[in-house]
Amino acid sequence: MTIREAGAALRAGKLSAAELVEDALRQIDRFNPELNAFITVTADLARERARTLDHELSNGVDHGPLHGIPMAHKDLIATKGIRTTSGSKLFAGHVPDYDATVAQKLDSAGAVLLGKTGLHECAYGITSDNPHFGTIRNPWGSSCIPGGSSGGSGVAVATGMVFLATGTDTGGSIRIPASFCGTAGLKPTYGRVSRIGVQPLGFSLDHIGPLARTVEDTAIGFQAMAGKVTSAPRREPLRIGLPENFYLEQVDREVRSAVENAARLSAGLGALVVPVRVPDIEAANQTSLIILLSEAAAAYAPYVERREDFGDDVLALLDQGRMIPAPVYVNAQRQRKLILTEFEKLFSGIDLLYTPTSPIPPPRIGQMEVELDGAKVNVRMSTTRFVRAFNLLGYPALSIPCGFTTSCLPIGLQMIGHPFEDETLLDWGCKLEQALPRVVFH
Amino acid sequence: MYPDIPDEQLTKLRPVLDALLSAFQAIEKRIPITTDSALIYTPVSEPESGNHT
Repeated sequence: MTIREAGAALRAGKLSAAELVEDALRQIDRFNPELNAFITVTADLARERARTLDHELSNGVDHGPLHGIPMAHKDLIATKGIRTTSGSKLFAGHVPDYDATVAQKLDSAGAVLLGKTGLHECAYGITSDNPHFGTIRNPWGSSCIPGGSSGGSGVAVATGMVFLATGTDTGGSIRIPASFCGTAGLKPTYGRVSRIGVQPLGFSLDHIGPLARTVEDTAIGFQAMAGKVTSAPRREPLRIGLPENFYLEQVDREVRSAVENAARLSAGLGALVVPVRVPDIEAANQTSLIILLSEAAAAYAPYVERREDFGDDVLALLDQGRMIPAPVYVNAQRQRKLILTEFEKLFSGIDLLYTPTSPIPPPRIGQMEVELDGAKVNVRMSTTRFVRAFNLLGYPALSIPCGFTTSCLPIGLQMIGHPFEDETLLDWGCKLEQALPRVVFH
Repeated sequence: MYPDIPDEQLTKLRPVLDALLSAFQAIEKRIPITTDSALIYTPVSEPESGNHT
């Protein structure tokens, strides 16, 4: 069931928000013990909120498309009176006395909060294998990672525990779990969704966005989170760039084939698919990494004496950030401007760029290396290779499911649009997902 | 606020950092920074959009 379908049933009196909450709690009971998507489930608060919303709707008060819809927040988004851990031992007992702006906006839109989803420690990693709150598992294969850092949100949405979940993305942390869990996920244009009340990681790279089972649901979530809708400019025929370089190297064969199929389907829907050569993505990735390591070290500087409270991987990254000389960080920021100019030239000739979200399907939990084109490649570096550049640039990027491997693991298509044209991405994504095989999790 | 990083960790991380910095130096050669790009990049933002840290 989609958000629109649930909303129609609510307004027709065929379903209540209270029943939607009970359905959601049943799914949590069924899947959460094995998959560990949630750190905190707020069942009583959700039941109480649903009763209020049902009462309001029966009295003609309708908050809009999200009225009565169960959702979850990634557990680094401040929620008043509800523990907000950031997946870290540092904040294991932290109960904020205010709501993040994005939490306020979704609450005002009538969404029902079911709880807080698990994440990679401090949102600083892609496995969601958390040393303090346990391993989050992929619903399509529980020996695989769900991706991260918003792994719990991806799992909660994919399994129908909630319709919508928030995520954050500093180097792929919305798009990677969306791809690995078979959901849609939008990293909006930098700044479209407020970061007030969200634990920072990379100050100039952090983005907040929605994950949902369909692009339409993702768009509904985004509109509420951004709080302002801009109509997408008409671009006909839509020009889609399909890279001839970089994105075809060190890619799993089935992933490549699924993305090429999505491009063929797009052409069938009337888009003009054109081959393009992308600028120096490796430079963008390295520059982004320098900035992330430095900014994360700054964000966690007040806590560095508490070394024993960090997991080994996160501590190593924070230490690495502290070792980067200041001029290197400053020059990385200057480099960023030059790289942006190169991408502006590319996007002057296209409306969207298609790439795989991840070069590889979900790896196994604990797997450090994967073989691609006969070479052994580091899992973390490979998984972030196609997504990280768009945090540096601030461009909006949407991941949607575009197929499955022969092992029944989901494959994600990444669509990148012009800055502040998130709506173009979502509109086209809605159209394309109708043409792609429907993802249904059982 | 900034205690020393233990020697063992420094020894472990130094080769990783050296590789990262040398990769970045190579980028600076491929895409040279000029005085025209002296300003620090500010990410795209709409003033009214709630773009706050």
